[in-house]
Amino acid sequence: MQKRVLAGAIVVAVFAAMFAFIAPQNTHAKTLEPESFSDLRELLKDIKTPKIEQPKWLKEQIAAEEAARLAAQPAGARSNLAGRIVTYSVIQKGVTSADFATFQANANATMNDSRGWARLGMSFRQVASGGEFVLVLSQASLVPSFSSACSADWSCRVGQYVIINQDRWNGATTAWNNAGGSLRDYQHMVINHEVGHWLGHDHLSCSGSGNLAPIMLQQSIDLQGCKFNPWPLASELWTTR
Amino acid sequence: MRTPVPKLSKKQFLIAGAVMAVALAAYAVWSVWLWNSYNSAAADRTASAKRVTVRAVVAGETNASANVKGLRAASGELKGIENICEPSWQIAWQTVISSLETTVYACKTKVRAYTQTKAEIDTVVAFLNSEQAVLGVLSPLRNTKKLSDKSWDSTVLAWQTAASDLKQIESSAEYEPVSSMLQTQVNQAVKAWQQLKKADKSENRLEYENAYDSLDQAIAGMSDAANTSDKILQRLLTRLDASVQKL
Repeated sequence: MQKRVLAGAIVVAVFAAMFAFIAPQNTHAKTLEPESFSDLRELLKDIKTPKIEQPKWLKEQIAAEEAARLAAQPAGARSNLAGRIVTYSVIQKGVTSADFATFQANANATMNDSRGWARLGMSFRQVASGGEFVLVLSQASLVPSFSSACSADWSCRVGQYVIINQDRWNGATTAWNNAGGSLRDYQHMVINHEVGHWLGHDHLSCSGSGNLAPIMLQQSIDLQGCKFNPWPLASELWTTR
Repeated sequence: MRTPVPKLSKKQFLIAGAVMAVALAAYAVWSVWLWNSYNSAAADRTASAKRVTVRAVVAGETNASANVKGLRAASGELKGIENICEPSWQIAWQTVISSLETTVYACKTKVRAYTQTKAEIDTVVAFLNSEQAVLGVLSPLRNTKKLSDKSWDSTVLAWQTAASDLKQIESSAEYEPVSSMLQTQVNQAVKAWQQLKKADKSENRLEYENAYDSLDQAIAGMSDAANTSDKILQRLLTRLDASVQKL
């Protein structure tokens, strides 16, 4: 009996022997970056828009356009005014709802935009009073007060006054809006158009259906088949000032 | 008349008991050895898997391809790791003993973290495999030389081929948004090339210049795909990192 009990105890004791696992150590991997695994960005840096030599016909067209532009310019017109600073002041006339500070800032941005008259090399600087021209934000009904040639529906330029109709500034025109043009683009257009008059430009017609409108086309009134365009064309880059 | 049941003598009984005890002891010793082997095999396998995984995830190689290779190796190392928790048939019944059942349960719990990490690695690898296929298609579009209307045909063909080949690639689900963006941009570039050739043939300056602008925009837009790719990959790598920290 005692031997039976002893044999059983040996078996149990052996089964009771256990082996512990070694606890794993935590290793903090450093933060992973996509560029360690991905080459896409590097490849895309090497895929660039190719430089394409102008075809012969295009060179000829550009040369012909340049010749026509020079021929169309009045006597004394200049197209390179590098370093010239044009000063202007800004006033309000009548009751206006447009934010005046925003108007001043946006008008200055348009005049100095690299797509606009600044391509002539000139820059425009607002001054407190006086200056070479006066930019006016005018109540619509008071625009004709500058000249009988001006309409309460549109903006105008009379002598040194570049007059922006505040209704147009705030809401563009029906035609512009229906064509999907943005208000900011309209504001660019109207500033460039009226300043263009001050720079010595008269009105122009559309050069052909589907073409970009010259800035001196009365785009608020009739596009004549051209596409809306808020910036002066290359052929318009001259001034008599 | 009943047959009398043979009775073991006391001596015979003791001998039989001793033999049984020896047999049981031998089985017990063998069982211990098998459980030892089970534990050390599990420990070795998980330690090795962890080493390979951590090394791959730290991404210490100098180029992306080598790092991707490291991830693939880690996935291979983790393949089938869940099988290490099954004890051999000779001792499997012993899991009725609660401490041994706990041993097996602890092994399975530990290994679950590794299978989760393998799943995360596989997702990243699938993403990068898709990307490598796309890189292969886009590589011919690298360009440095100036073109003319006399020499641009091979470039136009390269773009058309890329558009067609991109469509054939089967991307992983995570890479699909990137692939889709690249396809859109490459298709727009192909369209712009066609417009450019048409404008050149008809000597239409406005259409020529518009087509060139469209081409420029289409190519510039491809960088958005790189931004999207980085964002998605970062998300996948963050998940991978989190799972590795649980090993």
